[in-house]
Amino acid sequence: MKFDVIVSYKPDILDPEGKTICHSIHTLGYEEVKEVHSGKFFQLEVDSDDPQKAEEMVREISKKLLANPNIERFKIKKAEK
Amino acid sequence: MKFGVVIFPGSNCDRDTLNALELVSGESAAPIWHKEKDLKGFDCVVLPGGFSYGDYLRAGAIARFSPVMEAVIDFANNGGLVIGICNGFQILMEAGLLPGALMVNRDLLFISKMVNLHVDNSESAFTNQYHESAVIKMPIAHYQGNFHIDSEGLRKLKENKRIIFRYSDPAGDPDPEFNPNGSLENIAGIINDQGNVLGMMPHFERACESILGSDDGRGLIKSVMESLNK
Repeated sequence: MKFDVIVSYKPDILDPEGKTICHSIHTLGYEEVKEVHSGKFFQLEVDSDDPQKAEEMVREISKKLLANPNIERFKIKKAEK
Repeated sequence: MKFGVVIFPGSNCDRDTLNALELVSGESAAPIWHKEKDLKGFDCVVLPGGFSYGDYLRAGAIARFSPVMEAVIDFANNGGLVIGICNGFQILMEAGLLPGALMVNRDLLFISKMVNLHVDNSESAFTNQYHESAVIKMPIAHYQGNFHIDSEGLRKLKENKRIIFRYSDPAGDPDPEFNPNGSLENIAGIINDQGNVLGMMPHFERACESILGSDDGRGLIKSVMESLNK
């Protein structure tokens, strides 16, 4: 089974990449875009019969490695087939 | 007295660091491959600058799990002197040996230049040979040197005098105009609570010979020697 993990900055952290991308979007003429938050995407393919255990494991991996808990948060979603 | 410099895949300042340590101390400095699990015999361990694991995922995030890091953490917990320079600082943070995080530079540029540093604490194991409030010059070269910590963390750093270096103007004032990367309160280097682990963004190993523009880095190595001789 596959799990999608999205890692992004916590809301109170300055996101200069997001701000720069937003500025570029405005330069292209799309003034209606108010804010951009950038992040990282990971897809983990897990060999398991137990979806709950597998998700628990992905959560642990996300906490230990994929996200820096000081400044980042993460969201896990079971991937569409 | 023996210095050790850890080499991770992607580290690139190890040679310069080994040379600087030997040149200034006159003692032996040896490389430590990242798979080494035994740090016996070393008095001071340095994690050098570079791009360990290509900075993949986050700078230092993967090096943090290299086999040698368990030994480095034990070494630090037992009071051994540890210095992290640039990428080494990032690795020490990821390993939990130092607090805070180093984010992308404020202006989204890799910055390579000489900076002035105010020595905020000249009593530490790494700065005891500098005059109080000394202003020294060293080069920085990084893309992710923007030091960040939450307000409680900052309060603790200040309370325990753990801020070691700040980017400053030539007179030593931590003027925001002289902050190259957006670091909180111009912080360029900090130590842990125990005072035996230092993390700093500037490259002291590139400031040990005046022909390179500054030899102010010598004081740091001399300070370590003074601490070890006690």
